[in-house]
Amino acid sequence: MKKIFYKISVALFAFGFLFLCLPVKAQAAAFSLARIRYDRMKQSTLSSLQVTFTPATTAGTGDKIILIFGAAVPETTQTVTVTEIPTGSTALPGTLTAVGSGTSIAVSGFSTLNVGTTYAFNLTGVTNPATDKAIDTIKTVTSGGATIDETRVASYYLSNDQVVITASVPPTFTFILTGNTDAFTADLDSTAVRTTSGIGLTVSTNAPRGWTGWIKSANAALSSVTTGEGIATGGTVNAAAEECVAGTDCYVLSVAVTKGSGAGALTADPEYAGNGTTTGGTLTTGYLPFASQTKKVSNDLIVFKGIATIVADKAAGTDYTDTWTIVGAGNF
Amino acid sequence: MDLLTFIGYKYSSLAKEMKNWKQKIILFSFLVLPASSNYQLEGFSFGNAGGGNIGSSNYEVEADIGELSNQIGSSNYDLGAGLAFVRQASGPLIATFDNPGNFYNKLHFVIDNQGNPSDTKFALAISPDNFGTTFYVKSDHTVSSELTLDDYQTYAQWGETTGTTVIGLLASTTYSLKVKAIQGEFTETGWSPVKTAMTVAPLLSFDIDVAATDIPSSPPYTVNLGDLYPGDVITGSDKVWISLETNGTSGGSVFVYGQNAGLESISVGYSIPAVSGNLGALGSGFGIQGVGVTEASGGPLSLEVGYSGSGDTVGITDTLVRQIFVSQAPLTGGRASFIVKAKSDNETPAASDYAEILTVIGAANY
Repeated sequence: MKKIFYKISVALFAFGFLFLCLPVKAQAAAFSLARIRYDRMKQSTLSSLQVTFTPATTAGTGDKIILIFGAAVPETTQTVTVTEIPTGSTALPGTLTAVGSGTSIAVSGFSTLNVGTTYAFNLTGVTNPATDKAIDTIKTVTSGGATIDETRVASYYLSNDQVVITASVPPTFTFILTGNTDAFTADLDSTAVRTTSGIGLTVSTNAPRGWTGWIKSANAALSSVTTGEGIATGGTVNAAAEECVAGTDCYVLSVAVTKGSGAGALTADPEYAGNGTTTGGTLTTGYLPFASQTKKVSNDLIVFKGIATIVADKAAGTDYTDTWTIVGAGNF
Repeated sequence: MDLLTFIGYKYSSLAKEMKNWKQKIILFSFLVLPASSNYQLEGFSFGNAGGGNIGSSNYEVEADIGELSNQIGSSNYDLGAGLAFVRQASGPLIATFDNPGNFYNKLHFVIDNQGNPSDTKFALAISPDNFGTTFYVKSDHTVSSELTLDDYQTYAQWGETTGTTVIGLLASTTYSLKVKAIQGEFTETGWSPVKTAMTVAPLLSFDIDVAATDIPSSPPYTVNLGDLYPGDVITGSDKVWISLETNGTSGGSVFVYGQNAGLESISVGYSIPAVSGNLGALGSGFGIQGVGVTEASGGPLSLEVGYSGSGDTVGITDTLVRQIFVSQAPLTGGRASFIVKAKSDNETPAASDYAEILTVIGAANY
């Protein structure tokens, strides 16, 4: 009887001891912050990930970060980066490596993680599931596999996570004169070469090959109805500006150009590339090019000036006039 | 050995020794248990305390004589006995234990203090498996396997009738909670009956719509800006709407990023760049502007500063993932929208295939 009692007592003691030694299921702390951002939320699409977390418990060398995916399928090969992390977060420190396997990705190589500091890192990613939602888990574990911190997070997947913005840029060409009259700055004189004030032209276009401008004269001369006389244009159309010599009948056009913004080149036609005071090109009643631009441009500026002198016996009159017609076109 | 056992032992010994059946009858009669016609006391014993002179002018021992033994309680009720029971605090209860906010990681409880004085302190035990494993609610409202004196808090510290939210719990888990009280030494009660409550699963819901007004739409999602004449700021007639709902403790965020960092034309190899700033003053550019945020509850959902401009001021949508809307707390029915604006200049080559792909994503912050 005593033996039986002794054996029962020993057995009970042993059982109690073993019970006390059994590992007790522990509830790991939750991260203070945990987020998995899928850079693509479209279903069945490869997506990189950005993981942001704030440890509630210190982790460090030898420990691992484990991501367990409820539905997404991790790529086996993972690259860890710490660029372009959220403002206020700290790049996950250490020499980081990651590997995907089954439904999880394990990140290792990080150094001490401090409680309260928000860390972030990026992973090559996963293939999103065809479902619309899943529960993923982020946790830190010891080298022995014991959970340190753990938080479950919800993930969501869309049939389409992109918005396509479309627009057209139509062909454009603007051609604006600063005025429609341009008087000589002084009376025409046989002892001097006179010029007009000048009239401006601003040209903009998105034509890939720029633009070309043409000009023609109504009379190819400054004509006076009241006197019936005229001052004929000077020189010939020869791709070169010619000089007006005082005391002769001479009337030419000088074109000056200032290139606007753009990569092209703006040039005055050699015929009209005068000096703005005494030289210029011959005016004709047919269109001749006065300038051209090679590429799209914004605000090319062209200034037209009439240049004239007269013979000494030119009849006096106040109505010597000519009309220029200036046109242009974009070279699309 | 209590009295009854002792007597039983002696009875057995005596019975063996008694040869005369009359003697046995006399002995049995002597050991009959106290009883009436309806009730019988199944067991009884007497303690050793009390008696004699147990006090002086400075000290006094409180004592009683005799304590009940055997079963005097059930799983829900307990009839205490003796001096220790008399001195215990009134046994508290869990008044409510619930999940009012569909929380995934916390639950709310209110203690019923059962009229205990204000200096009474209460400790709470909580378990995710009906006390197969036991944790305790710490003074910072987290849970731990250790219960320390600091975790005994007064009724006021546990929030009185408003209660307290215990945090750091597992999602989708039924928790059991019980409470005990103490008011000074040797007064701690036993645990109260258990109440249960359940945490829900983490939740994130997200959607995109493209429409002029707040109505649902289906993919593919497209915003057509039409013709961009040089110098004119063009606004898309359709808005991009997003829906966000989450029970994440720290709310959720909506991000946007572009594929081309601007409106790109493949045919002419040119891009209208993504920019931040006032398109009215800039030569050309492309960007977005947040125009509205709302929520049914929680949050609030707010617009990030970089996208909160008015007029022709836009925020950039380059290839970086940038946050445009954010909520710092759980929310339901979150809804927000943004518009798209662009401007070309005279140097923007003509083409009909300018396009950008904006990826709009959401994430919950747990």
